[in-house]
Amino acid sequence: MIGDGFAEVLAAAQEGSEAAFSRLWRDGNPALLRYARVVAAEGAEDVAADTWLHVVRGLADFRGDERAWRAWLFTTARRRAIDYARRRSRRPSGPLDEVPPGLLPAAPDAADLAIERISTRSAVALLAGLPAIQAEVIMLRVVAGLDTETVAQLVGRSPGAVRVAAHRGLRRLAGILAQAGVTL
Amino acid sequence: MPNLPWPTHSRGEPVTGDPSLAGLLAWAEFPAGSAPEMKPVAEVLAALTAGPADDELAGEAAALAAYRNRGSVPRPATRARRRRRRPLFPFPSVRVAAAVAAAAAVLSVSAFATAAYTQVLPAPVQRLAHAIIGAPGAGGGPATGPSPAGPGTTGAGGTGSAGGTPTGRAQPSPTSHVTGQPGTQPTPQGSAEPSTEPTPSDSGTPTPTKSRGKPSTHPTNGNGNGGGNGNGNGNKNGASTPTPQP
Repeated sequence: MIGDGFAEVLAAAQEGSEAAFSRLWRDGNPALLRYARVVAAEGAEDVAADTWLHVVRGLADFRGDERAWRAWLFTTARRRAIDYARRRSRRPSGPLDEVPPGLLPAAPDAADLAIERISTRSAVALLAGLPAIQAEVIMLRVVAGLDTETVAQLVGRSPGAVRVAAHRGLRRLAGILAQAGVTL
Repeated sequence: MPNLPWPTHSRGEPVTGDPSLAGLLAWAEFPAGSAPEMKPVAEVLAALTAGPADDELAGEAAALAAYRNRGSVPRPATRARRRRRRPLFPFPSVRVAAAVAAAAAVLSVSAFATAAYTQVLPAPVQRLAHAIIGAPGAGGGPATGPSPAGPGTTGAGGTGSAGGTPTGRAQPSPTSHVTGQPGTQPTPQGSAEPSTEPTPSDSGTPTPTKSRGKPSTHPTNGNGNGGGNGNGNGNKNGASTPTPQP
């Protein structure tokens, strides 16, 4: 979060300051990438890059504070992730048995991820193992820093449904970690 | 508290109060007083909000390049979609009705043209069709079918009258099959006299073929069989001129 100086940084970026835009990008991109890794898996890099492309195009017209900025950023990312999923579903894909075993992605086991020291990437992989809506809501609440009402608007559900999904996701996550015997 | 017959939480899930979960979500840290089984969850959430890794800042150059070229990139596709023109017929029912109307109009025009070229339209309409689409005129034009006069038009005993009207307009007669009969009023002078009444051979294009009588323009003494030639030579003022057909 940029904090108090956000308005000045945003104004400078809208007027063409590359340094100001760089600050916006360095503040937002890590969270954006982590969110995209949960909702778009291997397409996270493409989704993040496409999101910034759209943000750049609409930057001059944006009005709002830092909270609104993050809401806009993740709303754009969510739409790009949906577009990515549609494109991917239209693309023909061959059966897995035709792919050499060495090229198959190694799915991380949740227990292995939990036993090792929790890194950011491992935490993202753990979240990605949850049901989609639960994982997305937790990411938007924790990583994007959005409140329940904003998340509800973003995902098109009621605030109550968002709370329920987040709590169920956290309980499920606790169950996974308990089964793995993680004691931190 | 009711004794519910089903469990209120899933098997294997730790029982944790909602306030501690809300605290986890709000601060991504382990709130004081939370259940101890939630401590690993708090660690995971804290890892999610950790500082950026190197690979997470690797795309800065590309983002800055896009920022520099923001003036040359086209507007997002969503805006282009908003500017799309509305369809002429926005509702499906209106589209169907328009298609049916168009098909009916095409069929009507086709039927009119077909009727005009086959000369089955009433004379005024046929003239109109002649003027508009070049169809054969009323009472004129090449007749592809048999002559309306039919066989026996100029046969023996035919009246031989040209049937021209005094005004010079040839008019078709609805009684086109009576000319083969002997004239009801044999005229000794033959039928060279113009008749004011319409006669069957009045199509304007008399057909002298199949005539068993002797065609002659000279008046003869009638014997009841009529001496007219039936070729319409007796037309006094008629506009129809006999056109021998092969």
